Amino acid sequence: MELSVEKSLLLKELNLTQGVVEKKTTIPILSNLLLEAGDSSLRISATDLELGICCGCSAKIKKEGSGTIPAKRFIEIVRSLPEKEIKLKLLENHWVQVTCERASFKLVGMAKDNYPTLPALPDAIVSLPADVLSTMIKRTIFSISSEESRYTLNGALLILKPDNVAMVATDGHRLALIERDLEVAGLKNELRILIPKKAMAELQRLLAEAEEDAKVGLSKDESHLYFSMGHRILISRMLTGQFPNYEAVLPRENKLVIDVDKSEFITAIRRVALLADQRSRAIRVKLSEGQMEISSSSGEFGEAQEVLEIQYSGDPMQVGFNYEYLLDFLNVVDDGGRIRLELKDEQSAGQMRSGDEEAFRYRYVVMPMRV
Amino acid sequence: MLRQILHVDMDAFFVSVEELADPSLKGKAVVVGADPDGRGVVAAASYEARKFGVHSAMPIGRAKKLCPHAIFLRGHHAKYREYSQKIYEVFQEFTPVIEMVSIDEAYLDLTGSERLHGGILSAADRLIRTVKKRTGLNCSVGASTSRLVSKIASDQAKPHGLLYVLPGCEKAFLAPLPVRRMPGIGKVTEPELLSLGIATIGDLQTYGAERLKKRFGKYGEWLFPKSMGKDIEAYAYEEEPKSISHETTFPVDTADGEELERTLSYISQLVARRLREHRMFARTVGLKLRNHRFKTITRDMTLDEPTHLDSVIFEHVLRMFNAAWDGQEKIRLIGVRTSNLENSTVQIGLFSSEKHEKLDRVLRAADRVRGRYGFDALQLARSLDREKK
Repeated sequence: MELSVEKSLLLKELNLTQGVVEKKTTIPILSNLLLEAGDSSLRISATDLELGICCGCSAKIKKEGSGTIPAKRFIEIVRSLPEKEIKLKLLENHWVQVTCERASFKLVGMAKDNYPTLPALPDAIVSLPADVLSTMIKRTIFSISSEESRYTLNGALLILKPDNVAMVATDGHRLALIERDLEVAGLKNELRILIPKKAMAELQRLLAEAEEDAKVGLSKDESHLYFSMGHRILISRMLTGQFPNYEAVLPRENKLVIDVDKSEFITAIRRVALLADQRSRAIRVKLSEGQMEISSSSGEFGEAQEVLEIQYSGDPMQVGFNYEYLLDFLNVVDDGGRIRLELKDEQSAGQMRSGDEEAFRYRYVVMPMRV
Repeated sequence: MLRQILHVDMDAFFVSVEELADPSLKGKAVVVGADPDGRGVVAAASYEARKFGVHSAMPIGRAKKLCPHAIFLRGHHAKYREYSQKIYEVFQEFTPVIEMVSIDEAYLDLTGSERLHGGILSAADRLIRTVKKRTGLNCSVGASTSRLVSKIASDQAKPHGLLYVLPGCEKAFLAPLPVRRMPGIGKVTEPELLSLGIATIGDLQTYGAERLKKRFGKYGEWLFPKSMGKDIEAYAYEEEPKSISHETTFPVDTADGEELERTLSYISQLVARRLREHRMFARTVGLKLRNHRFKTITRDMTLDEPTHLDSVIFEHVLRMFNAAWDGQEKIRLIGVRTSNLENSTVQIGLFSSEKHEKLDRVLRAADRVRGRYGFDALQLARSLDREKK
């Protein structure tokens, strides 16, 4: 293998692999990247066995071939080099030489034969607009559980229908659901796919690099999911298991509806949160004629409260929430708007939506706390 | 205001409970504890057995040698708990400030309740009679202005007696007693004191604070006020526990997976019940395993929803157990520990709430049944057959 490649092109691709390369691996080769030279391009692959990425860029190939190279060191080296052409050459004993202008490095590689083979990309089932997918991920990913014991909640559920796409994520305490009408070409029946959290985060990175109007191809086989965008492919092991019946927990009778200014609401919560109990993160939301009082108390530090003026004429009621759960939603919901807060009582789920309905229908369900 | 402290100590508690169930045991040498042919210790001995030198915490094998004709019982700990609870309920009629220091022993703070109870002496007398009436059990009570003096007094009053040390008489009451009677002076300190010519608590009093401090350092500083009948620390009001755990040593080391699992299930239930008693929820659940070579391992798991449910604790402990045990190694001890305890400001779950709330109600009902008929009256099916071995 011998080739030369533009630094900026190479670095862009290397950055995409960073989240995938295993950092604390017990299998040494997984901390390496697989480099394959051929067909006027350099292919770069990384995997941690859960997730894999294949990307690459155009390159001048002097001699075809492949090798592996320690990912972390390689990226650091490339970053440090000037914006010039970088030459890569496979030496004996799997060493790889990196040269750029007057700088030269020899990196200890490993035999490429030991590198796990990434599964081949099957034909795409559907293709989705990159910006739609990106928006859906951004507005649901924070609700995914990171507790390993609840592995079916370690991902988001993507629901594809011929004329509608939806994504839902939950950790058992709150749930984010986003959907929009969309003609999904080539789809006759409903398709439900659980996407692991880590795959979503890496996919988000790929989508950020996407050009306008780019499409993402989605395919799957028995054990893997594939997302392809041009020459870049993200492969994820599929999550198995039953996603909980989320439809059953969507509130239907939340008759206490409050319309509140988003930025006022956020700043009030942030201020009151300063004196909330740091363990439970509980704050209280109290509704009474014409006002909403947000308050907190901590045995250690004291009490806080802030009153917002709202349109409300129902019976007084009070409900407790984890302030982080509220902020998680408010921080990603679209700017400039107002928020609709829909409540029932102190025991039942509360729901928030963005006030201005746009192409997406976005709702966020939060269970209260007993305070 | 003068403090008014009662120390209540049940007389030969385990044995007395056994006698209630089987009156033929009365007047005989009875030892409750581990299998007399195995290892383990004496939990309680009747006064008759004590005459032969048997006492609690003694290795059971020694008890058998000292008193071979004694009736050895394994005991019914669920029943003892049940009686303990009944006694506790009686205590509650006298004061809310109760510290159960063990299953059969408690301090009651009656300070400021003279108008209500008509003096500590009559209150103590009524307490002894009420306990007897409700449970059929005898207890002994010490009454004084300090925990320390009351504790020593109840010991002096045994069996089935009441001793009231009048305020101001603490020093005189303690003076003639041998130093060994003082809690905190054991077989290490006693000979050292004797070598200094200190045989009674009165000798301690005259030896003086300065010299005691010089001789025993920090410990000596603490000995003098104690010899005068003063409590060192202020009365400890009921504190929230930091962790709740339970463990058990098998009579014989075992690698029987089913038995281990059953035991784990049983212990999980014990722990969960105690969580519910304290109105606490545990965020962290831990497992403790000790193998036949005395190697101990512990495993912890943090839940994202704190729990006090038997099945949730068991499920997590079992998962850790299955990961930690190779299926071969003989296990000597197994235990469950819950920590990171929270009281009830909890997050309600989205999916689990209904199921868990139902379970919660079931378990509260179960706890009431257990309160009446003993802990073993209701069990998870998983832990049945445990007693058959």
